[in-house]
Amino acid sequence: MIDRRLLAFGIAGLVIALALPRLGLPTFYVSLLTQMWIYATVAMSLDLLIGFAGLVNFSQAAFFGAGAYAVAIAATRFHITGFAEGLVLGIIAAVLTSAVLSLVALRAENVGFIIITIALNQIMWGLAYQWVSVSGGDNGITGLIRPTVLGIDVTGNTNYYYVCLACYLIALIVLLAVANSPFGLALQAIRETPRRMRALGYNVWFYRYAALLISAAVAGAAGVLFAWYNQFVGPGDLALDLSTQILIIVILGGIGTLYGQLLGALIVVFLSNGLSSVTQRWEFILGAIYFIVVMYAPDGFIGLARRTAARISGRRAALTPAEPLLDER
Amino acid sequence: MTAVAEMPGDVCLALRNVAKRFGSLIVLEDVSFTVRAGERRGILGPNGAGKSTLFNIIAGDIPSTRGSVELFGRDLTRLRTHQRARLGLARTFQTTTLFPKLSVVDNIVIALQALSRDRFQCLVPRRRFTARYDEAMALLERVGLATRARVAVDALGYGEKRQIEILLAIAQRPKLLLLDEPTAGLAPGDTELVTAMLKREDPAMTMVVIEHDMSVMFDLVERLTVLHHGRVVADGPLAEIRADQNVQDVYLGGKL
Repeated sequence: MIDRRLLAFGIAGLVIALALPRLGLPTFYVSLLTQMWIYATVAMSLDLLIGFAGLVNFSQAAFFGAGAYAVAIAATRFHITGFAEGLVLGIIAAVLTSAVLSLVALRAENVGFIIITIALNQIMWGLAYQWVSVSGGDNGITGLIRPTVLGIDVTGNTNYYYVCLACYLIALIVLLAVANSPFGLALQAIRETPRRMRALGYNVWFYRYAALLISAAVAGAAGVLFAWYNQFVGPGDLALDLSTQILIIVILGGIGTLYGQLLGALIVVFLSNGLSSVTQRWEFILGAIYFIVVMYAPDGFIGLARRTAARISGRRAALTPAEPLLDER
Repeated sequence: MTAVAEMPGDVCLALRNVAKRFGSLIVLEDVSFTVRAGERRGILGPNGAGKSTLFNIIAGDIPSTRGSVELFGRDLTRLRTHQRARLGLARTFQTTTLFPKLSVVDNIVIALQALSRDRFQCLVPRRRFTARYDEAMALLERVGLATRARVAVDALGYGEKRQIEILLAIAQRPKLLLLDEPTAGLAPGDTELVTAMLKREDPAMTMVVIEHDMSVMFDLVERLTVLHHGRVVADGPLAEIRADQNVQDVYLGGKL
């Protein structure tokens, strides 16, 4: 799955990512890039579901928001303010949310699954919006303070940028491992032909459920980072709007790539922030770009880049539809 | 003729009074027969006789309205498809049912890992399981498709896909193999390949075959069960069924 050129790109990208805040980049951009790491992390978690398990989940923001609310409530009500504690609590909250929601969502397949997840996300939003005594309702929960990480103060934008970068990398490694494991292979096969998988002896339901739990764990961690990033949690953090935006990032980057979501997050974060300072109609432009990508590059910008690179090096990308999984013998 | 015939040897598959209705449509009615371990059994019948429905009921894809299915004396009726597969029941489909975007070797590996404990292993790269990939390559070599191992199944020819369709089931070394029209739509040369492939299999493996190509059927099986309008109208050794006037009337049109 990881070829040498991609690895070179990755290392170069990592060096740039590490250097950027130190090169006098304005704080505003460092802050936007921090957002990018968080969005990329949650988008990757959704890509595991869409690109591998074939589950188009519209309630990813519910997992994300569960993590965010958990850490906010823990900090403001129970004075649990540690980094590790917050992260673990957020992950547990997201996994538990997924454990319940997925039981309902997996009653259906395909379009039915999509519609149920839309409804479930809306229910979660309603809960956050109306259960004022716990969630603060529309006002959300304010006054969150970023914890110290390994004794380092991360209240500054630059330090927090590195925290989010590190979390992104860990999530990427974990999700790549899952995708390349026997379990990941089974997920892909279930995406393709669930009927045959049952006939071969796979418990399709269990695999999908497990994928939803793994995905929620990563999404919940991203939600925790987002809560600390904004130092605020509100119903918008688990709204259907956010689920849609995460989905757009997944598609823009390239479904089934995991690393591609970083590019998708970069585009969405910068376009939505950049365009919104120029025009009120930025969502319209973002929508147009989304439309063009779906029409002309359904494999996302990563797919587009791959094909362009292949054209430059004089090879046809379509030649190898299957990923080589074994070393040549 | 429709009674459960008493036969020597271990009974592999036993159907007892299996019936299936979709609303008021009766697809199967009172189907009972047994298949001995190691037997090669053909299921014969015109289109709409209920053959594929019968396979779907045996495999657990759809529930029967009445009746029971037993595998080596164990009642399967309440078990789900994947649980039946884990007991040693494998099947192929009439329309090719593979994983088109995955490579040929991965398709086989999926079948192989299905019955192993590390099918849930989610952190170790699957390339580490070299023994499994070696086994998959050996299986592909047996049917002469080793050179196509890294190609996506999508890119294979129809005949090759049909071979993989069967290979996936055989790779699991099932006790009972249900073959739903294994040579459907194949060119004569490919048909011979598939027939030869099935004949090479372990004689202990029980096979139940639905097939419209009579030469393939007569080449493969020892006994035939004939279905017509969802009922068993004949059940017996090949020669007996071939001579049966009733069978010729319903299915063979007297051409045999």
